[in-house]
Formats: sequence, C-alpha cells, structure tokens
Amino acid sequence: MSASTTKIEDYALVGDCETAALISRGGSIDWLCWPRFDSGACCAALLGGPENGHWLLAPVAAAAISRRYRPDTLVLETEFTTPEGSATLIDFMPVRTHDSHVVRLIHGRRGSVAMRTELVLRFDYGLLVPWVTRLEDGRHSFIAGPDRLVLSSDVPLRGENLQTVGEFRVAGGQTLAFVLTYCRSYLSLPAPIDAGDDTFLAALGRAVSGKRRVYGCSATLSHYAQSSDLSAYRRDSGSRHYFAAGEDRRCAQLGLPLLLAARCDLHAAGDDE
Amino acid sequence: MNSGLYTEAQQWRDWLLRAVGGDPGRMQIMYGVAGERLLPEWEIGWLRGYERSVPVRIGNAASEQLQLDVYGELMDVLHQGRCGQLAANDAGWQLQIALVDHLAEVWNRPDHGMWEVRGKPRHFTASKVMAWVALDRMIRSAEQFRLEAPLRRWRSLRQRIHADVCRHGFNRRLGTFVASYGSKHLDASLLLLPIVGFLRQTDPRVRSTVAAIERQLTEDGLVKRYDTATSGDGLPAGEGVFLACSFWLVDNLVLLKRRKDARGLFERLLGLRNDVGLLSEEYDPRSGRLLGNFPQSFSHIALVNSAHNLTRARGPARQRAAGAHSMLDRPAQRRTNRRGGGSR
Repeated sequence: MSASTTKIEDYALVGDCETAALISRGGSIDWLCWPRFDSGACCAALLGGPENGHWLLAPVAAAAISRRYRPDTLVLETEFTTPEGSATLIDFMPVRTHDSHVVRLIHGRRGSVAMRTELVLRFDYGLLVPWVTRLEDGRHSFIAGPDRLVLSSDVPLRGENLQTVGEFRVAGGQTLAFVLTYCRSYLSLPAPIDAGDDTFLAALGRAVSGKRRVYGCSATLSHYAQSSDLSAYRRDSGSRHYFAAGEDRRCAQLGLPLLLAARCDLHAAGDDE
Repeated sequence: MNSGLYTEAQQWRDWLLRAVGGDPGRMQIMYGVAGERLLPEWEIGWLRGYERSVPVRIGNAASEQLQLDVYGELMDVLHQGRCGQLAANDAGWQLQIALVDHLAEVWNRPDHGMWEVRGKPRHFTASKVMAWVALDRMIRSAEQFRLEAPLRRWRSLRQRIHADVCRHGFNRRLGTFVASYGSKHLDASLLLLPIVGFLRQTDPRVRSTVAAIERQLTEDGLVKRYDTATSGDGLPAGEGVFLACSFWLVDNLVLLKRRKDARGLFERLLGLRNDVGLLSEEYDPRSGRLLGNFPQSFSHIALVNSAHNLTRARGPARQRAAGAHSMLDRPAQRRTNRRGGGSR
C-alpha cells in the first residue's frame, strides 16, 4: 500500500475534534498531525512516500475492500475479504479528555486472516526518526524532542529497518487492539488504557455517539456500557478466548471499546463462528 | 443553526470574536486553529508532493492579503448569531463598529478577492458586494436589536456601495455582472449576489448572469470558479470544476424555483463523493478524479446548505437573501428539546 499510488479519494478521515488522521482504503494512516490539526505531521506519506511516516494494518494477501462509517459517527470500518477469511478494521479517535488516542481494532469475522502491521513514525513532516524504546509494561515509546507517542499492541512487534513491524493472524470472533497515544515527552507517561476507567469510557462514548447527542438523543455508548451487552460480557469470563495474546487483562481492556462501539452489529448473526 | 447546532454556533462565534479582536486594521482573512495570526508560508524540501505536486507548502501567504469579502462574511455571521439568539456579547458590537469604520476607509481599494489570486489586486465585484453585505447586516442588527449606531452614515454608505457595484460591476453589452470592474469575464462568485440578498433572484441582471454562468462557466454541467486562461490568477491554466460553486448554482436554481434542475445537479454532486461520503475542493470531469484540498469543509458546508435549501421552504439561501436566520428557522426537533430542557 505505497502512499504514492493511493489517490486522495481513497482516503477516509477519523478525528477527535482537535486533530484528524487520513486512512487509505488499504488500511494505512498516511497523514496525521499531532496534537493539533496544524501541528507537524508524524505520518506524512500522503505527501511523500511510506518512509515519511505511515501506519499500515492490513491483510498480508491481496483483499477485496469495502468501507463505511458507523452511522452518525466518525468510526471507520474497513472490511477486508481474502481467500482465507475476512476481518474488519475499526479505526477511530476518541474525543479527548486528557491524552489523544488513535484506536485501531481488528476483528476477525470468518476464517483466519494473516495480517501485517507496519509503523513508521517520522516527526516534523516526515523527517525525524524517533528514539524508540520498549517500556517495562511492554508498550513502545517513540520520542522526538518534545513529542512522544506510546503504542499499546495486543500482538508482539519488533524493530526492523527503522520500522516497527509485526505479523499475526486474526481468527473469526477474535479482536486485537492497537492504541497509539500522543503526549509531551517531558511530562509523565499516559497511564495504560484501562477500559474500566470511566473517563476513557465516557470519551469513547462521545467519540462514537457525538452526533446523536447533537440531535437530541441522550443515548451514548458509555450509557450502553451499563447495558445488558456489557454485563453479559463481564459475566462471561470465558470470552477471554476472544483475545489472542497473553496478558488477558490488558487485552480484554483494550477489546472493550470494540464491544462498546460495535454493539450494534459486529457480533451480529452473520458471523460464522 | 439550521442544523440545530446552537451550542457549536456560539462557540464558533466566540472564537471568531477572539480571533478578529484588537486593531481593526489588522483583521486577517485566516487564522490558526486557536486564532494565531502569524502563519508564515514555507516550503518542505524533503517531501516529493502528492502525485509529484511540488512545492509542498506549510502556512499560507494569502493570510496577509486584503480580501474585502471577509468583512461581509464576518458581519453576516454575527448578525445571524443575534437573530439565532446566541448569548449576547456587548463588547462584540463595539468591535464590529470599529471594523466597519475601517471598512468605510478601505472598501474602494482593489483587493485579492475570495479566490486569493496572487496577481495584482483588482476591484472584484463579489468583494464589493460583500462589503455591501457588511453594511447591510450592521444596519439590520442595529435596527432589529436597537443597538447604538451611526445609522444615517451607514445607510448612505450602503447605498453608495450598491450603486458602485451596479455601475462598475455590470457590463451592459454582455448583459451580465463580471468578475471585476471593467472586466469582460464571468466569475462563479457572482452566484452569491441573490444568495446574500444584494439583488433579488428575479432581477433581470441576476437572471442573465446566472444563465451566462450556466452556459459559459460550466464543464459537463459543473461550475468552474472562472476561466483560468483569462484570469491572471498566477496559477497555471486549466483547473477542475469547483464543487462549492456548483452547490451555489443549486441554491440559485432553488431560488429561481427550478427545483427539478436543482435536485438533478445536487444529486450529481452527491455522486462525486468517495465511498465514505467525502468531497474534495475540485473535481476533474475528464479523468473523473477528485482534486485539490481533501476532505474540504468549504465543499461540505455548501452541500449542507444546498440540502437545507432543497428540503425546507426557508433554507439558508432564502434566509440570507432576506437578511437573517429567524427563530422560525430553527429545526423543529431542537425547539421541542429546548422547551423540554428549559435550558435557556
């Protein structure tokens, strides 16, 4: 998915009202200014090449692709269908409370799909290679001067040719989460995402239901968090098998947004598993 | 406000006042996201550009241009906000008076126009029309809300600008308004004349201008900003059709009660959106590609306005033509909520 061959009309936008990312049909974030709309870009592939910063999350094999926004939201769903199965990539940026996040969830629908992720962050509009370290809790940190990005991933990643890459499979019914968070490098690290955290829940709720609020409907997804779906989820500890990697707790936490955001149709009857 | 977003409208209004506040001679045509004024333009040498389109520029040198239309846009927004009963801001009225005093000094200067042409400044017809809008909305605000104002002076200036536009911006031989004083060329910005209430859509000069734009300034039924070959805008000739202007044509067709044509054009424009509904600034009918800024709010705002114009008896075009948003224009659902919530 080289950015230089992606047309502008092949991009979709997700945002948190303070900045936005452009995501290609092929699942690559090719433009992202952080923390503001007019900050320097840390992903600038759109105006250069993949080496100027991008974040790919897509099947290894060629896939048929269809996309849509979840109705009345800026939650983008990209559906990949390959000969070995299908999976949905869910991208969004929750409205901020404190830190700014890009949340990417990959949900297996059918079969088992071989996936690849490729993260190249280049601050100052595609120029600066950041200082990449592994934090004690397993997260990756990318520092360039005053800026720091922190990546939580449900799958193991490794450094390779100045990129952070990983290959994994996603099986039907399984959900894997990736969260990239912006913060100032000289301030304290953002806490690991804890989906049990009311603030984060509320932020997610706003991200996914902002428009409904505007049109006078009081239902938010954080409201849904108290609803039967979630209680069922909490009761059924057996649902751990939905999450592939170890560290069950963290994975389950990261997976929770999916249940919140996806309540309407992701676990619909169409799923084979 | 037409979409019921009164809270957001008020936040936008407050942002606008903070941005333009201060020395009226230093009002800019654009600001940073938080209202910053210094937006120097510089080039990124290390990026090869989207489809090799170079140079890659950050900032915008146009931020230092004189574009008279922004005075009209600003005063229109602030007047609409009063009519929509956004919380009053008394200091804002004093700021407006200072700005309109400044406009009285500069309105007859040539400017760069709403298309921010980088060539020599000209007397753009649409710029003068928007200067008229600034005066018109100030007068309406003062009358309607009993605000203190030098009404006699303003009314006479409003009349003078109107006469100036009708004399110099209209070409008798062609029978149409033209892009700038003394020019022989059309410009899509002239589609705003009936929408902002400068002249009625039934005025023969407006009718013939709209008809000429439909005939001469379209490609495959979609509207170009102007003919780039003759414009001297400092850009290479040949750009795509401009989507916002095409929506303005929809609005004109609605005003002219040509609803079927309006709907047809609107639906065609909807068909240009990408798979998730986003539009760019321009479109190339020959290659079928989106061009320019993407996604572009100017196009999407025009789309929303046209949708309101097509679906409501008094859409934004009729409201602006009549001078203002009215409380009767509030979306029904919002009115109900308001009564229920009693928040105001």
